[in-house]
Amino acid sequence: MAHSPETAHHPEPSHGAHGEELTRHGETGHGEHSGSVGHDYTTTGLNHRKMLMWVFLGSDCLFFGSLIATYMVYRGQSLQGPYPIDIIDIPITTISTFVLLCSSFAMVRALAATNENNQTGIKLWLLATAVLGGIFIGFQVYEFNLFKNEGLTLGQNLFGATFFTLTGFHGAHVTLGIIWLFALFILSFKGRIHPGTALDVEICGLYWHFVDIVWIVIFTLLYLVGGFDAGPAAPGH
Amino acid sequence: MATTHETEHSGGGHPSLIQYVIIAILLFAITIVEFIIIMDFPGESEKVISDALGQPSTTILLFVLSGIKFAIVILFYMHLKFDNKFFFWTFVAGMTLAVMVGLSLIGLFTAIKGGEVRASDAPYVPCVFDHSVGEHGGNVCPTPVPQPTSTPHPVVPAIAYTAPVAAAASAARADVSGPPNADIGADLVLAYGCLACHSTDGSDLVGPTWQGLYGTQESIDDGTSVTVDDDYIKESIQDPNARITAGFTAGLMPPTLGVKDEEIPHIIEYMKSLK
Repeated sequence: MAHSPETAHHPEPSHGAHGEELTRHGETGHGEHSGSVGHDYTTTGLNHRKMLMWVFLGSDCLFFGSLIATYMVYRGQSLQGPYPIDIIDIPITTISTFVLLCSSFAMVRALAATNENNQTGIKLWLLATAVLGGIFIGFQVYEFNLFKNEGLTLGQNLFGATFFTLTGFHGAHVTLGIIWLFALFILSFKGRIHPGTALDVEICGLYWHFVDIVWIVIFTLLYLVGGFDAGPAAPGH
Repeated sequence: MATTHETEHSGGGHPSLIQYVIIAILLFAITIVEFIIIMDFPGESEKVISDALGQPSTTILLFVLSGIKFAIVILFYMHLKFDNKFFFWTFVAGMTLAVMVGLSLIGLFTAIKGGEVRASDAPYVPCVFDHSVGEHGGNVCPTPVPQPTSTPHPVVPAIAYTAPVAAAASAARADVSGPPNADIGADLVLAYGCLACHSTDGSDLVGPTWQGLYGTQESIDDGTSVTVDDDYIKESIQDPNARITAGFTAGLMPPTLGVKDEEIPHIIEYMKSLK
């Protein structure tokens, strides 16, 4: 690793591979802002807020991993319908997957605009990310409502229980991300989003992209692979 | 390391706009490919691609494609390719642990589930579905083939055991196109596992006995009564919970047995023969 143990003891931010961003932020002259970074040195030499987000995302993998595994364990075990093949709508969900991928791109642009101190771009891309996330949630609300009307509820069968728990918790993550993005959007009007506070946007972006990759997995397993599952009496089961 | 870092952070510290656009297009393209693999082309009823590849290959291909998408997002959008490797390993450690926990859970449940295995040992299931028999699996019956017996069966909820048996019926069924025949009906009720819950000797198990049932008045748990005729039997097979005989529990008989319309007259004929 580029940062040797002694790196951590150097007070100058220019030392170590981790230092580039910190240095750059410090040089922009926005170091006095509370949201700025570059003045907190840790034994790893890594920014502790970013580290915290990565540790959280690593542990969140376990959260979703367990829910996904539970879905897979009970896959095809439902004795009463509706079964996935009866109600899963892959074309609609492909569109909502596109929307979420677009929002990830918008998030990337928001961070780039922040680094460039492009205030219009910051507002535009943060809003775009949040709105695209909102559209994704809209698709999910539509889907949940449709499923409920088709008779699939949490308590209907194992498919309903595991499906709604997994996708519901993912939807909750997306919702939290939207609130976070809107908070940044509002802060941007107060001039609080600029290269000095780029880490605020970057950490939010990490969370947002994580929600995106979880959906990539869910979309593959529950829709593309599991979307054609039928009941136990179906031929070929 | 630091030099590389700076080089790759050209254009504001991260991949350039063009690179990000290319990445986004790549992600879209992979999603479209996945969609085409699954749905093939709109209007075509047959799935050309997924049928040609076979089920396991299609699944593996979809896993690989989504794995690529996953990797692209974490490496580029989340900058793990350019960022400090400690972040990378922090995340990969959690992700690996999650995958291992998930696989262990699936493995444990698969290993101890054993619905079919238990069914083969259970005396109350006349025939057992075996996936290894024939092209689509088939029923394995003890020799000699057990006839409806007068031995009282143990009372057990049999849902878990009847489900795999049900799938066998389509493979094992006889020609049901002729007039109603009690012998064909007897084969069918064996194949579908009906006798796991319904006796033919007058003893009530999980469900009502079939002996002398046809033509009688049954009390329903809502206080009404019904004549056990062809229509009622058909309803009870296809929608078991519509009307529950007084004294029995709703929800135990699976509505997913898959008994065909043309098979029901034979089953009714068999029930008529149980005087």
